[in-house]
Amino acid sequence: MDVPRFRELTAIFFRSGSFTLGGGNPIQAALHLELVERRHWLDSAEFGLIYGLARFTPGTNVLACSAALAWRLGGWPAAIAAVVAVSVPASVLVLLLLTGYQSTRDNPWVGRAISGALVAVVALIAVSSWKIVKPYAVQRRWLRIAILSGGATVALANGWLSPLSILALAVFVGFALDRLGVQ
Amino acid sequence: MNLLWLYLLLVKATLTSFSGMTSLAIVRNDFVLHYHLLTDQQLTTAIAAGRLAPGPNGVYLVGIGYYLAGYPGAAVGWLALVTPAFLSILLLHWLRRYSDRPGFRRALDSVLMAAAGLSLASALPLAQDSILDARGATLAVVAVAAFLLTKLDSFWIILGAAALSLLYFAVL
Repeated sequence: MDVPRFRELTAIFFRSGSFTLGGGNPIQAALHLELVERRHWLDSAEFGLIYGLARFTPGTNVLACSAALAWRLGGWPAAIAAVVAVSVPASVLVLLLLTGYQSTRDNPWVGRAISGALVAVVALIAVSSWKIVKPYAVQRRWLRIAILSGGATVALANGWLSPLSILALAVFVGFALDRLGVQ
Repeated sequence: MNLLWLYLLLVKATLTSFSGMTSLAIVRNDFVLHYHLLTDQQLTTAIAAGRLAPGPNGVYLVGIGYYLAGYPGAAVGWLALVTPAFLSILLLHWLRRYSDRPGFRRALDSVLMAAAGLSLASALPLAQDSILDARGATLAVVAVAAFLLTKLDSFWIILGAAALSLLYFAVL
């Protein structure tokens, strides 16, 4: 396998983060194409291991995956450059969108367009929640979903517990369900 | 606003989430419900801006920081977004040893299921604010169907919802 050059490696992360819509999975697919299939800097198994482990780490998965891939290929400088390259262009665009919105939000046409976009965002959050639960639903772990996901929804919606307390409690409830033999 | 305090609250949200959007529940709880520094409208707008941009889903935190403390706040939001990525390099060493253990995987499954519930709970008040009539409800159903049944990127679905809303405004 070739040794990647710092500038070329950073450029790959910049391109993947700046021109790939759709969040983490499409970006990671673009990185697989560039790092594994085209340049052979990593083999598919190692990429898969880092990709899989990144899902277990806190925070945004694609940033953890990018940091770990670049660290594996070029150490800490490459990891820092990769995370900056993946996240800064999107951050600048978010700021441009928000400042643009602030200067035009009194325009009724802009207000209407934004209200439509906000409805889609609510739909997106609901669908994202379903997509997290879907693998467990496919395994027919309905009672566990009802208790853990449903319980978390009710507890937060009613303000009974803070989100952090709910996440911590979920671990204990999960182990209790294991002991009771609930799938 | 104290930027260190802002960073600590935002990084608490990112360090306790396991995908881009699951930090939403903690962000909303802290900044909207507890400290009343942000409105649901601003939160939803930041999320929309984050989804219209390419890159990671969690980038909406930059918008949250911007609303709370201007450009320095946006920089703090970005820092909170990327901090876990560097910690993850250290964690990955540890996880290589433990990720196959059934107990570890079950604990993570429980956290993810609860996180999905938290995310849904956070969407409920946002829905109350943005779905105000039958037109909004119809648009929400169409958007859910588009997210579930098509392979369209969220960028195009959000843009399409904005266009449909404009069309309705122009026609009626």
